[in-house]
Amino acid sequence: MKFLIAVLVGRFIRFVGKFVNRSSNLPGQVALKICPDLLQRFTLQGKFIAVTGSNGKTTSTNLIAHILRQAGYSVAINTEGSNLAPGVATTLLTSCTLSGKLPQDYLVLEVDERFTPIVFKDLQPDYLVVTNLFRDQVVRNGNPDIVFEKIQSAIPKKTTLILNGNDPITLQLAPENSRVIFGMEKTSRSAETSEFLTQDCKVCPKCFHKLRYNYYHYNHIGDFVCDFCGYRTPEIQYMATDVNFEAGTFVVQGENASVTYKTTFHIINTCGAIAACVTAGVPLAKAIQGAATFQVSKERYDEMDLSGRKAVLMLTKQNPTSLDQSISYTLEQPGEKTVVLHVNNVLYTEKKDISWLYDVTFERLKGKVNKIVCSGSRAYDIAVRLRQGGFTSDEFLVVDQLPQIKEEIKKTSGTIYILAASAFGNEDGILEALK
Amino acid sequence: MNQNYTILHLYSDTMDLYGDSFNVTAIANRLREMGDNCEILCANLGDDFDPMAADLIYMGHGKARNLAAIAPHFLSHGAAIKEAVEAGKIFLVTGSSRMLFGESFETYAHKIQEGLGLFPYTGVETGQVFTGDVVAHTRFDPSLRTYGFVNRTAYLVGENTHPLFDVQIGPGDGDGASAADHLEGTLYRNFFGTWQMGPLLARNPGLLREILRRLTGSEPEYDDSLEKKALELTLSEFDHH
Repeated sequence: MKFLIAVLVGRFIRFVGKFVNRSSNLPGQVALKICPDLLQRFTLQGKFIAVTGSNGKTTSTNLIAHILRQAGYSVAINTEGSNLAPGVATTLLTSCTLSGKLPQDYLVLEVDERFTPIVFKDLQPDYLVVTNLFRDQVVRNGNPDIVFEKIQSAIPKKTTLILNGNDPITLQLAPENSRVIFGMEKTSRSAETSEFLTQDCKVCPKCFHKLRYNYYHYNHIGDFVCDFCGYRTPEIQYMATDVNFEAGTFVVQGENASVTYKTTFHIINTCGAIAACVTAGVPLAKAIQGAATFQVSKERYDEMDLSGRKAVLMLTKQNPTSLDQSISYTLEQPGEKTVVLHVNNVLYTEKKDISWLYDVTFERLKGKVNKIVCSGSRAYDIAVRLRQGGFTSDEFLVVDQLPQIKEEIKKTSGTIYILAASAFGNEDGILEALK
Repeated sequence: MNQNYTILHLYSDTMDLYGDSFNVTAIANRLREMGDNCEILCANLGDDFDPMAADLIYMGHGKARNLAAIAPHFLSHGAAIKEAVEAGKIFLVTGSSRMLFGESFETYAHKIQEGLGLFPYTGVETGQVFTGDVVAHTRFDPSLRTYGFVNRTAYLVGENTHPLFDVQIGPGDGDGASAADHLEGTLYRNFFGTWQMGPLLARNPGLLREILRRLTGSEPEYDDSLEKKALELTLSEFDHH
């Protein structure tokens, strides 16, 4: 009875919440209050694929669901960003029958790394995709070891892991579990030495001696070998080979594949999604076909026109690797560029830590952009960071008050790349201020 | 007259979280700006090193597993490190590396690891992340106010005989509940230790000046108005709340 009430109340709140933009977490939150063991009470008819990791969770989850739907399967999936226990509860209570059955062929859930112990205790995934682990949101996560331990403690014995063969950290998860490995071969964009400041595996995570890389894709993602203990990149079953970034094409398991978002990061994640879908029963050709038509969400990436100039908005959450990726994307684009770095205090907590900005390789922008514009509540701290990286005062400018940004931007030229941190959506109106 | 300085960055690959290496960069940048030469030597697990041969020794913040992994190698150089501290070499030790200089600390696996025994504190591991902003006044110049950030899973117990900071806002050395918590860090001869992690010197121009003063023996001359303004803005946000 408690279960039924929780589901009905949850659905009612979701219906009402849609009008006030509180429909993703609140319904699950209230339902969990009414029925604390709510998550245990659902019966899955299909297979459950969970996705976690530092970067690329939302995109991978959406991509997996897209592939499954394109292949003709029914899917229940949590809406964007609602990857904590209440968000998961909201998804389930809106997708189930009144008796708690989830009739869909597949349940695909993005689960926040920290919440894997809570969610997997009640709902054991058949497949778990772990995209990667990086230093990420220091105020929330502390360090990658803490997150690793949380995921490690959460993985049920029956779960098949879909792991990134180029990530020395996540490959160490649950060694007894069955696993499928995805990754990417050396490409034209691979590097023999790391050009990034953030490298979470400078030393071998097993023996702490220096970890050698045959090549890097980015940060600590690459082909690695420890000369001391022998830990190395394993055999990769779903390996992107013959990658052509310009065309967005690659080969996986001998079949031609393609993507619409042509980055290293996305091609590796696409291999992970294909690996998960095929392992979960989708024919390879169908998985590849589905991946080819997937469009990356506009929540984290958007293009617009600002007073006659093209502008690109990319969002991140105090995550150096993610900002490094945005810088890579910026540098890969043709033409003259201005970069706006918009950083505020840490969301919700108002903490003023910006140490993570010292892990972002802004140095790569040196000499490649017209100007860097520092804005947000931590604008001067960004400027100090740039100064430490060897930028001179004619290479950047600081916006004291957000409304001034429009005038300041007039002093610059080229396409405007707005790299905004500590943000969900249009953080404190930077787009309005620019328009 | 140009001077040559050597910075020894200990365990640069292992004790390396959240921009710590920019403490070394900040010192080297200013020395070079003033026309001096600065060489940065890195020593990692398995490498031999001589602290007496360097002008400044830096050690940063690392994960609990990494700290436990390097502890035996570090302690095998214990006598030389103690000698260097007593001889007045400049040390800057940020984050969890501090625990190596105390009596002992608990590792991530809840084993007791012996420390150098230079200071009477011991480290307690919680396995839980603890983060916070820290606003403090320095002991060497009480008019100097600093901003820092802690991100740790351990805390210190024991008397702080040589504090570096009087904490105004935020956590001290302890677990946040103890009476001694308004004290943070260590300043003993030229040894600077603190839980405050990341680019501490880049964000605190006054602290950087003090270290350069002790390193060069004179008042360093350069323009750090941008750094001062950034710090002022950060500190003013605390005053307005």
